[in-house]
Amino acid sequence: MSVLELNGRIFDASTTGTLTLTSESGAATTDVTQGLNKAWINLNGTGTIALRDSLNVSGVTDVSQGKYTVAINNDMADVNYATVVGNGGYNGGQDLRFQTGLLGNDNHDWGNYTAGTFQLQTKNVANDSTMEDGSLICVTVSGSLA
Amino acid sequence: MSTLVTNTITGLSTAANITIGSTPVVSASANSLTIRGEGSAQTSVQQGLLKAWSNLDGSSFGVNDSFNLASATDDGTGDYGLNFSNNMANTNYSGGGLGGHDSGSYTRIQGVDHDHGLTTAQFQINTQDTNGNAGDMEPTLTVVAGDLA
Repeated sequence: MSVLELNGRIFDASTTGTLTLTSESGAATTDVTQGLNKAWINLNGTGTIALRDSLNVSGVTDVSQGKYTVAINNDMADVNYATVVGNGGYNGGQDLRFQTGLLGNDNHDWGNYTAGTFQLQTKNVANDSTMEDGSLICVTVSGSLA
Repeated sequence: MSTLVTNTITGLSTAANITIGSTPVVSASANSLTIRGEGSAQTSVQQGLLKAWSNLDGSSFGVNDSFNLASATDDGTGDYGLNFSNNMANTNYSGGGLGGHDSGSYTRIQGVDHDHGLTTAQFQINTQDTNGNAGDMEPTLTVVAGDLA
């Protein structure tokens, strides 16, 4: 057993690549390693695109209008990771016309969703879903690192 | 099991490094802590942790549960303010959200209110239906990642 106890809370690192901690109630344990976001971005996707801030991302490529490729610095272990996406609104009022999602290939083929990269596309849902650049694109990534 | 009672653990080979089992824990600089990930790479604990999250009922309005949220405000249909307890370090933080409406298959989307943007102390979110009309979201699930002040 390899544990560190701080005020009754136990960090258990008995298994390689796993660090667990007793839960808020103390009745369960939670996996610290799995619970950490492994990457996140705050991207200005307009003009000369720029990462405002990020974690574990080596860069973002502006593929074309509304389409971006995000390169993960330390790769994920597999392609089974999870992402949460957030967007900024459009100028004036409660207008959320710009929506970003993960970009797959045709026919529900997620071949471009890899351990090292994933692609995003932003569409203007108020304009027949044309591809548009987004000024605030946020993504968090959860899963296992390689 | 033996118990070691101490205030500070300092690495023997490298002062900033200790290992729990086979998990290296590294504090290379002040306020920085990394641990070994699932594989061989190190990952930042502070940067990887969510700094706030909320489960908000945007219809009858109330915060069901949250982390690092001092309060939430109902500022109109599909218009909510989320106020941090401990502020963020800057306005470059990240996050996202999802939710729905009622028990049917009504989709709602959420985003950051353009007119308010992100501030270190709070951010304003808007929710709407897929036709672009403002609408309350229940539940409104939101996460925030980034740097704390």
